[in-house]
Amino acid sequence: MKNPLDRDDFEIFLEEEVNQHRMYPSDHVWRNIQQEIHGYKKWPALTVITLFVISALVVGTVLIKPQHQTIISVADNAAQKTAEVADKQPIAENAQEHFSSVHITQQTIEKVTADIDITDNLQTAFTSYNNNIPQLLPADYSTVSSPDNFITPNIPAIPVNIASNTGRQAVNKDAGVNTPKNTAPVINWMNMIPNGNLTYDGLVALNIPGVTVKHRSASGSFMFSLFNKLQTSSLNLENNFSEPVHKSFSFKPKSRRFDFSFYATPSISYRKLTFNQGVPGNFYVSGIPYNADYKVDLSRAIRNKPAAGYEVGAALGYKLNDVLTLRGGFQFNMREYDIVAYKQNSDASSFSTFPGAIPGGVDVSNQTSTSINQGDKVVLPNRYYQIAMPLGIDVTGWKSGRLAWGVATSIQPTYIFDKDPFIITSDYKNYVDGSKLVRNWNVNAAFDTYISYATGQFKWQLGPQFRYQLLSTLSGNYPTREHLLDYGIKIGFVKSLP
Amino acid sequence: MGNHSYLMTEQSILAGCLQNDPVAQRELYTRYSPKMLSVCYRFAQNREDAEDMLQEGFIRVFTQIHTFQNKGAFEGWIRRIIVHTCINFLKKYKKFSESIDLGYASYLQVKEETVPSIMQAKQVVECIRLLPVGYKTVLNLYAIEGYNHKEIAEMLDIEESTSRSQYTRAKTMLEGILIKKRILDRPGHGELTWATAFKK
Repeated sequence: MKNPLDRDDFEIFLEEEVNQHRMYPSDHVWRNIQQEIHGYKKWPALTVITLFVISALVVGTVLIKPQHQTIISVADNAAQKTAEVADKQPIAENAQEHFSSVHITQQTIEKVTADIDITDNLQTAFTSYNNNIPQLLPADYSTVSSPDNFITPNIPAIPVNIASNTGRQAVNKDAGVNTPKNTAPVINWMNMIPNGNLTYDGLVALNIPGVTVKHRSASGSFMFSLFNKLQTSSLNLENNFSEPVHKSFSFKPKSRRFDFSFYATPSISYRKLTFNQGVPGNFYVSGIPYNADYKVDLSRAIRNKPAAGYEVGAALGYKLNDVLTLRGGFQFNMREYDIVAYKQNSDASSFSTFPGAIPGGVDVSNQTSTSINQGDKVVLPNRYYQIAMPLGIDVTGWKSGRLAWGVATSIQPTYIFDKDPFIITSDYKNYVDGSKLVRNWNVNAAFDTYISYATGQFKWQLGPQFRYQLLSTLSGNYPTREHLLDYGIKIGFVKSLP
Repeated sequence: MGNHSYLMTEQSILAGCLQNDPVAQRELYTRYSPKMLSVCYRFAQNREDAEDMLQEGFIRVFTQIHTFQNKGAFEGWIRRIIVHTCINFLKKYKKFSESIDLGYASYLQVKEETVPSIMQAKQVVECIRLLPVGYKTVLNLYAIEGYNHKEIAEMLDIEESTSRSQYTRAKTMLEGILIKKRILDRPGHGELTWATAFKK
C-alpha cells in the first residue's frame, strides 16, 4: 500500500466520491452464494412434503382397501343359518347328526382358521350364534370347563361336542377328562366376554383328542365362523390318533392396535414477547435528556391483534393398552397475528410502533392522538406457514359406552417454509422485515383435551387445543424473544386400522 | 434489504460467520454488499459481470473468514478480497489483457449525455467506467484502493513503469471526462478544478 500522505487532491476527490456510491445486488446473487456455501436448502422442505404426501397416500390406500370376502360371507351366513336352523326338527338330533358325522383333523382346523377373519359384522354374527346354539345342543352333552382366571361370563357357555369314530381312547389333558373309546371327543368352547368393542377377551380352547388349541383374546366372529364350519360342513374328520398327542398352536387374529387419525384445528394466534438473557426487562429510551427519560414496557409498546390460523394433520396411532396410545404424524400449520403500526413517509420499509414516533425520536407514549407527524395506520400481518411432525401420547381418562374423555400432548419439530414477518427493531420504535432472522426450524408443544364419541368404525373427537412455540421465532442474537401461542378447537376422527 | 444492519454487532457477525451461521452470513452480506458491488462495478464491463465478481468474492470471504486475524478493519479485509477477485475475474476472462490498448484512449469521445446526472458520486463512477479497462483498473487500484505501483504491477503482471504511465494517462483522460461532464471546471475558467469539485 502506498503512503496516504502521497495522495493528491485528485485521488482524495475520487476516493471520497466513489466511496459514497452504493449499488444493491440482485436477489439471485445471495441465493447463489447461499447455495454455494450451504447447498440447496430447499430440499429438506421438499423432502418433508414428499414424505407427508406419500404417507397420506399409503394411509389412504390402507383405509379404502376392500375387506376380505369372508367378512361378507360371515354376515350372510349368520342370517342364512338362522333361517335354516329354524327349520330343523328336531334341532338336537340335527345337530348331533351333523357333529357325529364329522371328523376333525388338524389339517381341517388349520383350513378353518385360515379362513377366519375378524369382521365388523361381529355383532350380527354373535347374536345369531347366541340365539341358536343352545337349541342345537343335546341335553346330555358335556359341559364346559372354564379356566380359573376367567371372568364370570355374561353370555352362556357354549358346549359343543363332536362325535368321533376313532375307536380309540383319547385323553383331554387340559380338561382333565378321559374320553372313552367310541364316545365323542369334546370341543370346549370357553366363555367369551364381550368388552363393548365386539372383541372377546378370554381363552378360547378347542379341545380335541390329540390336539389342543388355545388362544387368548380371540374374536367372537372366530367362534361363530368356526362353529359354522363345524356345523354345516363338510369337514372330513379322519381321527386316526394312535395315541394321545398334545400339540398346541396359536391362532393369530389381526391386531387392531394401529389406528389412523385426521384432524383440523381452526385457531387464534397470539404472541408473547420477552427479552433475551442479558437484556434488561425494561428498556430505557436514549437520545433524550436524562431527567426526561421514559421507561418502556415492552408489553405496552407493542400492539398486536390476534388473527385466525388453522392446522390440518394426520397421524398414525399405536395402542399400548386401553388407556395409552402413541401417535406420530405430519401436520400443516398456518399461524398469523397482526401488528398495528403507523407508516412513516421517511422510510417505506419501516413502520412506527407508536403514533408520532420517528426514527431516533423520543416519543414513546402509547397515546392515539392524531398529530401532524403521525403516519397512516397500517396493519402488518405476520404469517408463518409450517410443517410439523407431532410425536405424542394420547391418554384416555374416562370411558362410558360410546363416550370417552381424554387428553393428548405432543412435541412437534417444525419447519417454517414460508414466512413474512415484521419484527420490532432493537430500539422498539419501528418494524422492519425480519424474514432473514427467523429460524427455519423450531419446536412446538401442543396439549389438547377432548370428548370422543364412537360411531361405527370411527371415533369422533372434539376439544380445545393449546399450542406453544418453545424456541424464539427469531435467532438467538436478537435481543427480543418471540413465542407464538395458538388457541384452537380441534376436530378429528380416529379409525382403527385392520 | 431493510434498515436493520444495526441489529448485530460486527463482532457477533464475525463470530457467527466463523460458525457458518447463515443468519450472520446474511447480515454480513447485507451490510457490505452495496459498497462491494460498487467496487466491482468500477472494475467490470457491465453490471452482470460486477454481480458475478461480487458473488465470487463473497464466497471467498465466507470460506476464508477464518484467516481474518482481527488486526485491521474487517471491511478493509473484505474489500481486499473483493478487489483481488475482480482482478482474477478480469484475467480469467481475458477482459483485462484484451482491452489494455493505450492507443484506444486518444480516440475516446465522451458525450455529456452518456453519463446520467443522478448524483455526483454515481457520475464519477460512470466516468471512471468510460475509461479503457487497463486504464480504469490501474486508476482504481492506485487512486481509490490505495495500492502502489509495485503492487499493481505484480497483481496485473505488468511492469511497474507501465502501471505508472497508464495511471498518468488514465488520470488525464478522466479529468477530461469530468470536465466535459461539468463535474470539474476547466482550468483557467474560474476556480481551481478539484476545489470546485469538492464544493459541489
